[in-house]
Amino acid sequence: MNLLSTITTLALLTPPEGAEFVAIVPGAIVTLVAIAFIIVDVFHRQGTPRDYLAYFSVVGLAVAAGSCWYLWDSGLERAAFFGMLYFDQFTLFFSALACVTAALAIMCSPPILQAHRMDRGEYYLLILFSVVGMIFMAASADLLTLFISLELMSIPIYVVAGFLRKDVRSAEASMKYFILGSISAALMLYGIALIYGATGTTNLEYIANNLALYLDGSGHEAYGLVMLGMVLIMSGFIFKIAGVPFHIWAPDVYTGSPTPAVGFMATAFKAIAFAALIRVFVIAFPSEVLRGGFFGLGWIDIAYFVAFASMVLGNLVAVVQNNVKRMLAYSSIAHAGYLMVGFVAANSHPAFYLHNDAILFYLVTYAFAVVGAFGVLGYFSRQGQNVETFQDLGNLGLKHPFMGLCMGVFMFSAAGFPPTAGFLGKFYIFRSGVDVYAQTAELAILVLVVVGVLTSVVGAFYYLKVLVYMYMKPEKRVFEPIRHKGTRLAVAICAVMTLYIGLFPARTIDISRDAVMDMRGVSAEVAETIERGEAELERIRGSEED
Amino acid sequence: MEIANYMPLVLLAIMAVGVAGLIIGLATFFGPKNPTREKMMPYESGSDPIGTPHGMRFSIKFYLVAISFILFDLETIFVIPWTMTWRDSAALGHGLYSFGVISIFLAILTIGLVYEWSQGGLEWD
Repeated sequence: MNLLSTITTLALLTPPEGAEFVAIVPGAIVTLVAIAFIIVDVFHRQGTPRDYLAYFSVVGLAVAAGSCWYLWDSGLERAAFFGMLYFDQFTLFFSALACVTAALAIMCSPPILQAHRMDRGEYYLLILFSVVGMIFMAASADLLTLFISLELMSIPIYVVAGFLRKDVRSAEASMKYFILGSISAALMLYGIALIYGATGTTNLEYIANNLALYLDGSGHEAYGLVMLGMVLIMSGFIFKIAGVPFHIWAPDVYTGSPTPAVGFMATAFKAIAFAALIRVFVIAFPSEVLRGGFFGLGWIDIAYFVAFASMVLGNLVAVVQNNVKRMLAYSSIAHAGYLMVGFVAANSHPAFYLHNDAILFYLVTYAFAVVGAFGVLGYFSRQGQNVETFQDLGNLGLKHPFMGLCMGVFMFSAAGFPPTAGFLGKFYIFRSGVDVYAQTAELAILVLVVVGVLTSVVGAFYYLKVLVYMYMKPEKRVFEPIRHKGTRLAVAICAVMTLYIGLFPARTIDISRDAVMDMRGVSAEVAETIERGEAELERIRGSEED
Repeated sequence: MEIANYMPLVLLAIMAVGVAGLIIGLATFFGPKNPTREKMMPYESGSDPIGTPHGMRFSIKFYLVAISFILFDLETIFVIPWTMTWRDSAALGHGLYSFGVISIFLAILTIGLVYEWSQGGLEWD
C-alpha cells in the first residue's frame, strides 16, 4: 500500500486532530448563518419586506470576518484534514475580503429586489453559499477541494445573475454565464485529471514533489501532458477573473445581473480566483521548466499575454461604451490585466515572491471602489429601472451631493488618482514590475509596465466621463433615489475605506505582506525568500525602535 | 499492468453484449409480431405524444421532482458506504465521531427538505 492510499484510508476512518477544526471556523460560521437563514425564511410572513433578513446575513458575515481577525495568529503549520485545507493568514485575508464585499453588496440589495418585485430570501442565501465556496477555495490545498469550492462559489452566482427573472436581460445573463462557466469548469476539471494522470495525486504539495521527480530530465517525461493540464487549469482561473481571452461573458452578465450583486461578482470572484491562482501555481508548479518566464513559454508567459491583452482590450473597448455597467465590466477586464502584471512580476522568479503583496493590496482597494460604484448605480432607479447609460447620470451629482461625492471617490480610485486607494494599488503593482526589471534587466516586464501605465491613462478618460455627466450635463430622465439607509451606509463605508487606505495605507500593506509571507506549503526557494524578507522586516522594525 | 489482469473485465463485457444481443436477436427473429398503433408509439413517460415536440410544454414540476430525486439519491450513495465502514471506525474507537459527522450531513439535508416542503416543492399543484 503506498503512502497516498494509506492517508486516504486513515482519512476515512480516523477523525482529524481537534486543533485542525479551527481551519473551518470562518466557513462554518457562514454555513451556519445560511442554515439559520433558511429556517428563518421558512417562517417569514408573506407580503412583508425582507430587509431584516438582509441585515441578519450582514451581521453573520461580519461575525465571520471578525473570526478571521480573531484567528489571525493561530494558523496551522500543515494542511488540515489530511492535506485538504490550508489555514494561514493568506486564507484568512481572502476569507475576510469575501465576507466584507458580500456584506456590503447585500446591504445595497433589498430596495433593488423590492423594486423588481423579487423580494425573495433566496437571493441572500445564494450569496451566503457562494461566500462559503470562496472561503474554502482560498484555503484549498488539494485540486479536488479547489474544484468543489469553485463550483460552490459559481453555481449560486449563476442563479443570482438571473434573479430578476421578469427581466429578459437578467435571464440572458444567467444563461450565458451558466453555459460558459460550465465549459470553463469542465476544461479545468480536465486539466486536473491530466495533472492527476501525470503525477498520481491531486494534493498541491505532492504534485510539486512528484513533478520534481518526474521532470528529472531523463527523457521519459511527457511535458505535453503536464503542460496541457496546467494550461487548462489556468484557463479556468482566467475565466473567473474575466481576463482576455475568456472575458466574453463579463459585459453581458454585468449588464443583466442585479446591480449590487455585480459589485460582489466583480470583486470577490476576482480576489478569490487570484488567491487560488497564486496558491496553485506557486505551490504545485514551481519547477523552472513549467514556469518558463518571459517567453520560455511556461505559465508565467501565459499570464504575461493575458495581462497584456486584458489591459489593452479592456481599456480601449471601455472607451466606446455608452452603458455605465458595460463600461465597468470592460474596466474590470482591464483591472484583471493590471493584477496579472503584478502576478507576472512577483512570480517570474522565486526571489520576487514577496511582491505578491501588491496583488493583495490592489484587490482590497479595487473591492471597495467597485462595490461602492455599483451601490451608487443601484441607488438611482425609477420603477425598477436603474441608472444605466451615461445620459441617465445627467445632473445627478448636483441633485444628490452625497452620492455624487462618493461616486467621485470611487471613479478617482478606479482611475488611479491620488489620494485615493486606487492610486497606491496601481503604484505598488507597477513598482513591483519595475523592481523586477531593475534586478533582472528583462525588457519584457518593462514593456508590460509601460503598457499598463499608458492604458491606465486611457482608463482615466472613461472614469472621468462618469463625473462629467454627473456634474456638467443636463438631466435627461428623472431618477428618484431609492432612499435606503442600508445602501447609503454601505456606499459611505466604501468611500471612507477608499480614502482611508489612500491616505493611511501602512496598515493594509502590513496585513497584505503578512498574508503573503504566511503562505504555507511553498517550495524551498520561495521559503528562502520569505525568510530573507522576514529578516529584513525584523531589521527595519528594529531600527525604527532605536 | 498486465493485460491478463483485465481478462475478467473483457470477458464480462463480451458476455454482457452477447447475452443482450442474443435476447434481442431471438425476439426479433422468432417472436410473433402484431403491431398496433399504441405499441408503435414512442414511450414518453406515460403521457400521450400528440403534436410536434416543438409545441409541447412540460410542467416545470417534472424538473423539481427530478432534482429532489437526485438529492436523495446522492444522500443514499453517501450513507450506504458510511454504514459499511462504520464498524471499522468503531473498532478504531471513533464510532461516535463518525456518527456525528453523518448526523451533521443528514441534518443539513433535512433542513433542505423542510425548506423544499415549505416552499411547496413537494406538492403537484
